[in-house]
Amino acid sequence: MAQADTDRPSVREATQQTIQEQYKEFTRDLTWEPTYVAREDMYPPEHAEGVYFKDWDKFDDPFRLYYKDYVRVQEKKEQGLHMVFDHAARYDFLSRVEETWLEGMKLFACGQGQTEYETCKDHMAIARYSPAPALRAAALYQSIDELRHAQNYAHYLRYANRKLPGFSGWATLFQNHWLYQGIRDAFEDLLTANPFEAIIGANVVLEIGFTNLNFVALPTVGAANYEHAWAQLQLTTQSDETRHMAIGQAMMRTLLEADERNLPILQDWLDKWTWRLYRVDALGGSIFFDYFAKNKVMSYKEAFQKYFVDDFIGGLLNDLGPHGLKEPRFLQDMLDEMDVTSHLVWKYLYQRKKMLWFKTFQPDEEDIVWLKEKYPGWQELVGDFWDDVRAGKDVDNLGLVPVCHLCHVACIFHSPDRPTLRGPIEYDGRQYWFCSPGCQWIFEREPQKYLQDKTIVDLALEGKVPADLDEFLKFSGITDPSLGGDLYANGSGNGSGRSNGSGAP
Amino acid sequence: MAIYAFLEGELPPRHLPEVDGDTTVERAQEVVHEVFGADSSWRAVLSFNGVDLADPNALLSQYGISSEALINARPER
Amino acid sequence: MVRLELMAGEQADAVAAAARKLTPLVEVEALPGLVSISAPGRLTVSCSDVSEELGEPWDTRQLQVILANYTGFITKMNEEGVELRWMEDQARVGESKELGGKAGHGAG
Repeated sequence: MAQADTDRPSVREATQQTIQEQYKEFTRDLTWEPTYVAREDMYPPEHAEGVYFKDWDKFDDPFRLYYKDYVRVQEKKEQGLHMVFDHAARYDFLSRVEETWLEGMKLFACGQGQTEYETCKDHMAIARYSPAPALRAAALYQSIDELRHAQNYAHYLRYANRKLPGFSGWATLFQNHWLYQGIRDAFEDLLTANPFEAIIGANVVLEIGFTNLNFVALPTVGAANYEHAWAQLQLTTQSDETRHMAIGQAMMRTLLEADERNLPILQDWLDKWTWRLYRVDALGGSIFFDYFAKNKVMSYKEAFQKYFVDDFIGGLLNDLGPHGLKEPRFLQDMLDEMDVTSHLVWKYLYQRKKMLWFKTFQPDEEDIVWLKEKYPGWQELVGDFWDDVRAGKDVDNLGLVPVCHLCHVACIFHSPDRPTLRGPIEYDGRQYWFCSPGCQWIFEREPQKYLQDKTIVDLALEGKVPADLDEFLKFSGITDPSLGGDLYANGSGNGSGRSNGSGAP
Repeated sequence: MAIYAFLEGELPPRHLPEVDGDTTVERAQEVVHEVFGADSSWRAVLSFNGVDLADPNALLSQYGISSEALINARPER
Repeated sequence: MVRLELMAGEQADAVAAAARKLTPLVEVEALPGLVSISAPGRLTVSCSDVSEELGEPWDTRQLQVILANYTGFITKMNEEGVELRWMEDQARVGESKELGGKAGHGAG
C-alpha cells in the first residue's frame, strides 16, 4: 500500500513557504510578457467581449491551487472513487439498484460524459485565451478535472455495460438521437462562446446553479435507490465543481467591483445562460426526482426551489445585488413551469417509448399518491392520460412535434394556460419556432450564431433522419429494439418485489 | 413544410404529415384525427388565427395557412 | 445561509463538530450520503479543531476531497482553516480583494 498522503513532506513543509507563496510561484511567476508578438495578438481584446478590467494580474483564485497540491488532492479523490467502483463491481451492487432507477441511468450515463468532455475542451480554450494568469492556471486544472469526469463516466458505462444492456450506444446516441440534441447544443453554444461568457455560463450558472440540482440533490435520490456507485461518482465530480464555482464567483465579483459598466454585460450573460441551461438541465433532471426514483427523497419542485432558486439565485443576489445584479430575466417562467415539467416530460417519453434505449413505465398507486401530494395539479394535468394507459389504451405517438430552433427541445410545455410557444417567426426568409420567450430572446440577441441550425424536424422533413422506426433505431445507435418500451409490459422487468398489479397491458 | 395542429386538451402540438397549403380542410381534418388517435367518438373542428376553417373543400392556404403554421383543433363529439 | 455539504463519514462529523465550536448557530442536516452544515451569514472551521475531533492531522486539502458543495463565498482557505460568508456588507467598487490568506478577517 502506498505511503499515506499525509506522511509525504509537502513542498510547503520542505521550503517553509505558505500556500500563498507557493501558489504565486507556480502561477503568476510562470507568466511572461511576450516579446515576439504584441500582447493583444496573444490575447485578442475582442475575446473579452467588452468587459472592463485593468490589471488581470490581480485576479485571484480562492482555492490557490497549484499543480503539486492539485495532483495530491485529485489522486485521493480518484483512489476513493475507484475503490467504490471496485467494491461495487466485486459485490454486484448493480443487482440491488431499483430497476426503475437503472433505466434512468441509461439515459443519464450515455449523455453525461460527453458534456464533461465538451467542457474540458471549453476550458482548454479559456486557459489559452484568458488574459488573467490566475485564470489560465485555474482553467487548465478545470480542463483536467472535466477530462477526469468524462473518463469516470466512461468508467461507469463500462461498469454497467458488463451486466446490463442499454449503455453501449452512447456515442451514436449523443450524436443522432433527438433526446440528446438539446443538451448537446447547449454545450456547443458554451464551447463557441468567448472565455468570459463561457466562465459565466459554465462556472457560474452551470456549476453553481444546475450542478447543485443534479450533482448534490440527485445523488441523494440515487443513494436512496441503492445506486451508491453512481452517487459517489456524482459527489466526487461535484467536489471538483467547488473549485470551479469559486472561479465563477471570483470572476463575477471582480468584474462588478472593477467597473460598473460590467454590470449590464454580466446581467445579460446571466439572463441567457440561466434560461439556456435550465431548458436542458432542469428538464432532464426533473424526471429522475419524480419518476425514475422508486424510493423518493424530494420532488423536483422542492429540489429546484431549494437548490436553484433559494441557494443559487438567492445567494447570487445576496452577494452581488448591492452591485446592481438582478434576478435572471426568465426566472418567473421557470417557476411557472415547476409544477408541470417532470410530468409532461415523462408523458412525452412514455408516448415515444419505442424510440428509446431505456424503459419507461406507469407510475403505480403508491407513486401517484406521492405525486398528487407534491403536485396538487397532477390529476388535472396527466391523470386522465395515465388512466387511459391503465385501461389498455394505446397512447403511443412517434410523430414529429414542433421543436425549438434555439434549444432543440420539443415544445411540450405550451398550452392555453401557459402559452409559451412563439412562432413561426421569419428571419432571412426562413421560419423559426421557439418553445418560450426565453429562447426567442436568446436567439434574437445574436441570431447569426443560431440561424443555420436545423432541428430534428427540419432534418426529418429533409429525409436526413429516418421516418421508419427500425431505420431510426439503427440511425440513433439503438441496436436492440427491446431496450425501449414499458418496463412492466407483458410481465417483463425483473420484479424487484414490485407487483405488476397496476394492470399494465 | 411543417404544419402542426394543437388539439385542445392534449399536449404537445403534433406535426401533420403530408399536409401543406394545397391540402383541403376536409383532408386536414382527417389527418388531425389520425395523428391524435382516430376513434369514431369525435371529429376535429379546425381553426386558425381565430377563424374557423368552415369550408371543407377550401385549401388551407386560402385561410393563410402555410409552412410552420399551428392550426387549432377542437374535438367535437 | 452559508453552507458546506460534505460526503458523509468520519471527517464530515469532525468538521461539523469543529464548526459548532466557532459558530453557535450552526445547523447540521443528514441526507443519504451527505452531511449539510449551514449557518446564517458566516461559517468558520479551524483545522486544529477538526484535527482534535478526528484524532489525526487534518487540513483543507482533505476538505477538498470530501467537499461536495458549498453555498456562500470562500473568504479563507489556508493552513488555519476555511471561512464561508456572504460579503454584501463589504461590497464596494474598486476595493482591492485579498481572498483569504491574511491573518485578519476584515470587518464583521
